[in-house]
Amino acid sequence: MAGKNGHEFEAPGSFVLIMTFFAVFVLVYLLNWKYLSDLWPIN
Amino acid sequence: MEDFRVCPATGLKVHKPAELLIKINAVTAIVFILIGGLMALLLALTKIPAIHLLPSDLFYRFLTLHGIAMLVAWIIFFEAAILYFTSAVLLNCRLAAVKVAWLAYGLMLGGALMAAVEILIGNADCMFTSYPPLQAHHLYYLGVILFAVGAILVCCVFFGTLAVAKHEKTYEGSLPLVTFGAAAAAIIAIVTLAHGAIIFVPTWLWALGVIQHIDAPAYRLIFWGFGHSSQQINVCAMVAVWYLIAAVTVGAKPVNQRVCRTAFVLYILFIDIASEHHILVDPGFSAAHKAWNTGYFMHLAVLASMIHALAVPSAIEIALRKKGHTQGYFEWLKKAPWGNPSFSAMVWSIAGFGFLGGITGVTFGTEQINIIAHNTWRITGHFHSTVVAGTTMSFMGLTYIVLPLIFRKEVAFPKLAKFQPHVFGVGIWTMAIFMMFSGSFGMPRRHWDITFSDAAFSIPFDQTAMMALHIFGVGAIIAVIGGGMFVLVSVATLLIGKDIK
Amino acid sequence: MAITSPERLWWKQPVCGQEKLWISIALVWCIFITAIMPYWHFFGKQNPSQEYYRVSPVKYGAIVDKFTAKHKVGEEAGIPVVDPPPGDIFIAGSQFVWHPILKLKSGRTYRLHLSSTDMVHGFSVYPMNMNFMAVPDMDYVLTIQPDKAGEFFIICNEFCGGGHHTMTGKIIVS
Repeated sequence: MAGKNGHEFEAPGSFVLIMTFFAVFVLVYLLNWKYLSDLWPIN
Repeated sequence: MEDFRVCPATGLKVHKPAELLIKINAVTAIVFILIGGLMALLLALTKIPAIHLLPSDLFYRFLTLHGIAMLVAWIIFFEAAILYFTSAVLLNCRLAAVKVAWLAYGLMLGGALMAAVEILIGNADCMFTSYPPLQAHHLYYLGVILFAVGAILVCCVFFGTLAVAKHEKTYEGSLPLVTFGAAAAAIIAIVTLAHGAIIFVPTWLWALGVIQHIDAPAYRLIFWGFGHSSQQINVCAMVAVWYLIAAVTVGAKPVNQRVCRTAFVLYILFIDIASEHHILVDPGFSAAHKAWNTGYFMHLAVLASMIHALAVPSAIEIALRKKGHTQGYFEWLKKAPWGNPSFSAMVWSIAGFGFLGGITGVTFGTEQINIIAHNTWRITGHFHSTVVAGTTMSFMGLTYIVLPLIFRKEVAFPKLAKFQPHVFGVGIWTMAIFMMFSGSFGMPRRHWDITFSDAAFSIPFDQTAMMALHIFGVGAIIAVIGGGMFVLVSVATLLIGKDIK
Repeated sequence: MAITSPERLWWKQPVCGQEKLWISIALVWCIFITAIMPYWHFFGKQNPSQEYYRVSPVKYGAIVDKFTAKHKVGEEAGIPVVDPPPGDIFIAGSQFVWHPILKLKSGRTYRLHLSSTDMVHGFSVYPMNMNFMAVPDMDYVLTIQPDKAGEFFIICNEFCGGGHHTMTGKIIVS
């Protein structure tokens, strides 16, 4: 699958894995912002 | 040339004095993981509400020792072995300044033992962080300082060896990627240890009575330049070990060396500056300062980790696809050498560091989110994911490579070794996840009695979080068993393992 | 391989499409998670305070004692209870208690002064899970607006000595 000019997806499985990772990352991150916004207003 | 032997497996010339130093540092590391693991078991049995084993004074004492034995001694002794391995062995070169390397070992061992003894006799119930005005005996600080000086010398020997290799032309072209990564770790180590000296020397003098006052906020700032940045050494060393294990176990070749090396340079430039996520909810700093330090600086280091997070699996996938496992997206993963403990430990390490440690680290290190994470058990769960599920796991994987290669012994109890990473992985994941789960209810870290039985208010702590403590306990015990298997296999290999000729 | 010297001219090899795509996504994400911090300072309601003053532990202890004497309405578990008007209110962490107990009114704005008279303490409000540090020599001013009534406990979440786990306190919001 290796492209001669290096523009193809050489490791599609890894790309799926990294996208799963990214989805979990975004989810956990945004969920924490939600929990934070439940606190007393504080500054 | 009597100082060299030729490795029959790789054809590499191995410098015998370097080999001995790798052995002694690795064995010392394993002794400390044994001590730290024993402490871990006692602490976990105290944390489980139904058992609550230790009295409070011993709990805090052993918690301090657990931190020093694991975070300092186990990891840095092993890193010393890695630095000697990636320089002298991989570059086909003699180790520079062998006597200095032995001096470094002596200082580190002496320092670690001094600190450990001071803790055990009750002179340093101050935790790993030893925040003033809490004061330990001056010998405790001296122990830490001696250890740090030894570790700096290890880095000097490493760079000396790189210079020798370059001068004697023992390799062609650029440094191997793994050595490059180890060099990045060593650069970060020197910056980090300098912070340690800046703060521990005056604190030591304060304990001796020479200095009257240590400013608590300033200590916290500079301590974390040492305390967290030293974890960045571990990150960097761990990533280098991933590339090493991937190369040895499946013949993985980095997809693009330029990308990988740039990512290591990002670590050097940014990761050790960004240590202020420990003081996000402290007085003494402006919001702009905090957001700048944790945003701009830390997130460029995060970018580096995310680059490695794709580069390492891609290299493995491409190598396995070349071996014919080309069906669908994941045949390569199914057919990967799971029976090889080095390989499986590496996969556990990558997944643990990424999914558990990395994600939570970035999240908790956000200036505002830190309000709901700081000093809760979420933090403890986070760094057990990075340092144990990540770094320790990768070092375990490397051990299974080093045993035949450097110790020239066949790994004893191969069946046990095969399962060891999985047992340890399941245990440490369960433990870390439920630490973070309990912590998200506000459960404090470093706390002996969450039922608050002796407190002014016996706070009725959330029942779900209390239940989670039991699951945490099961995970911790499984992790201790997995760690015990690692120590057993390593020690048995050294004592009764068959020699490889 | 990663354990041997790379091929010559390794720095000229083009980056493949997959890596380029991922690095772009990761970079955009890193910029987003950096930008959200200043954004929240302007538009969010929960931010770590940046107001602080130098104060010696002895002086802070005296300020808290004066404040407590002025607004004391009772005592619970041997700790004085105060019912101050909205404005500046004070709490001190000392081995091993948070004092005084504060009675606050929901929806009002208070300037909560937080410091320690001895060690470094961790100020953790349970069950809300709000955490700040009480550092000696520093008076940390948190502007808070309690918006739920109820009893909130304070846990010390930084190790401060042998009795650390007994260190608690209370805030009552009505």
